[in-house]
Amino acid sequence: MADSRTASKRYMYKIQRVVDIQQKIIYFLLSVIFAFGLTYLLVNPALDKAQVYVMFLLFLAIGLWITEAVPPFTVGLLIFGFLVFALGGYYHEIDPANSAKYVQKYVQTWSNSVIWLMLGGFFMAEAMQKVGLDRTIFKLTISKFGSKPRYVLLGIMLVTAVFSMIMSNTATTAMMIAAVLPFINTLDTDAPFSKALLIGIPAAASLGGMGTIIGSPPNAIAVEALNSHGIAFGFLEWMMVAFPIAIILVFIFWLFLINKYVPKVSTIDLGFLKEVDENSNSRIFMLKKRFVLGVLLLTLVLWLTGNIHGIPASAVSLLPIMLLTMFRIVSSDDVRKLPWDTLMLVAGGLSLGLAIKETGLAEYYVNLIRDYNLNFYALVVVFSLLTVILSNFMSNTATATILIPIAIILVSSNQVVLPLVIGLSASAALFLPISTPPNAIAFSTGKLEQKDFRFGGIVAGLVGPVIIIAIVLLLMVLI
Amino acid sequence: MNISTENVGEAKHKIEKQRKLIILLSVVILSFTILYLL
Repeated sequence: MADSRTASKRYMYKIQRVVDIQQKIIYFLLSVIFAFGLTYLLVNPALDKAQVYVMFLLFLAIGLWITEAVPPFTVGLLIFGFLVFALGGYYHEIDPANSAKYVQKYVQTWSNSVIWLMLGGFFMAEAMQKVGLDRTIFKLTISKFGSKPRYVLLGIMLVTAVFSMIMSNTATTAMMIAAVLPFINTLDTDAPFSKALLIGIPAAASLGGMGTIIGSPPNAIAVEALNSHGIAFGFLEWMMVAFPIAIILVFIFWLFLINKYVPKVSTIDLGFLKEVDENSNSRIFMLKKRFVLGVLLLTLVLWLTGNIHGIPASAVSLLPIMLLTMFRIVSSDDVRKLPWDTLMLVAGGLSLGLAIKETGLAEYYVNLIRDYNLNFYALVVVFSLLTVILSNFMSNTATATILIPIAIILVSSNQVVLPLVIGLSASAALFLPISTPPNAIAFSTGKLEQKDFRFGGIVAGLVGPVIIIAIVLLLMVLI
Repeated sequence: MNISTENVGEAKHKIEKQRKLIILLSVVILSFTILYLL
């Protein structure tokens, strides 16, 4: 009996797999047709072959990112392959001697400064998790917020936001939810405080990710776009603009949360935070923790004072990589577990952005739109809302990759504003469980329904762009 | 589509439909490519 049940389960699993794989193939083919169709409609004799190839690639990438026929990072790799193959062939026809030189720049995004910056961040995040520094800081800080539920929620959200400025939003959410889940399990399924926590943590991780260049990949894409247009924008400059935005948005989100989910209890017991790791009291473990904290602080200080000592942020990233591996905090096994797929996605995205810019494709279409004399502020609002809408359905990195190269050429003055607004707005998309990996983690606890995310999604999607635009414009006037 | 013992027949039918669609879409892409090359 049990055998036949296992066999039937296996059979069902097999059928499900066939349906899923065939669905992906259909989505892939539809994406190719979508790209062919749109390119055919938009192509005209004024465009050269390279521009047509890049246009096709752009539409293909959009199709694949939306349908998720292949994982987002695979699209990143596809971008490299396509650019080398198609543009390489095209340039070989025109200038065979130098064709490699034309294509090299599209592959060099692998060693772009923002990639190094992100890699340094990954090493630090891995080390923090490995020695439990993240949990220690969380427990130490949260106890300062008292025992009233609303302030505990604020504390957890602020700590999540600050962590996600250094660590990936996903890792931060996973750590925070794992820490509060024992407490949530003691509450009723429909307890307002449990919902507030499970919605607040992923939201704080996404919004907090705006705070630094390494906090979220769209930030890196925005900075690289600015740098490639000759606008120097470093770690400190980004933090000066984005840190206040991140904190204000987390605070506003918290206000909305405590008004919608009024806690039933007046105080909560923070005893659930007291369970200790077996290793945490050993001397070597404490030393390791302090060492990682030291490396973290040193790296942050060097990143923030780049204007004084002149060492590029990407070079500073080598410091945590060297020190953490030299002292065996991060081993080669840990390096294998780093989110390399994120780097592939960002590097591919940067290449696509570069190709749109270098082939003159963006400029061609922007010149057509420019004739309509679009209002700058209207453009900022439109791009911000468009970013939030697209990011809700597809990867926020992909959204930033597509919109930033177009936006930066669209305006002749205040070129800093649009990339910043788009890069930041990409982190304000929280409407669906699939909108961001942090939302997906909270959803996977099984304690939230899909509709629970809508409230936060609407708040972040409407208030986010307003605050982002207001502060970016205000700071641009002041600086 | 979540497959259970109740809808195995329906799932098999869906697989067949998907296969036909894949062939159709492949033919469309092939035609596009041939048109482009010509």
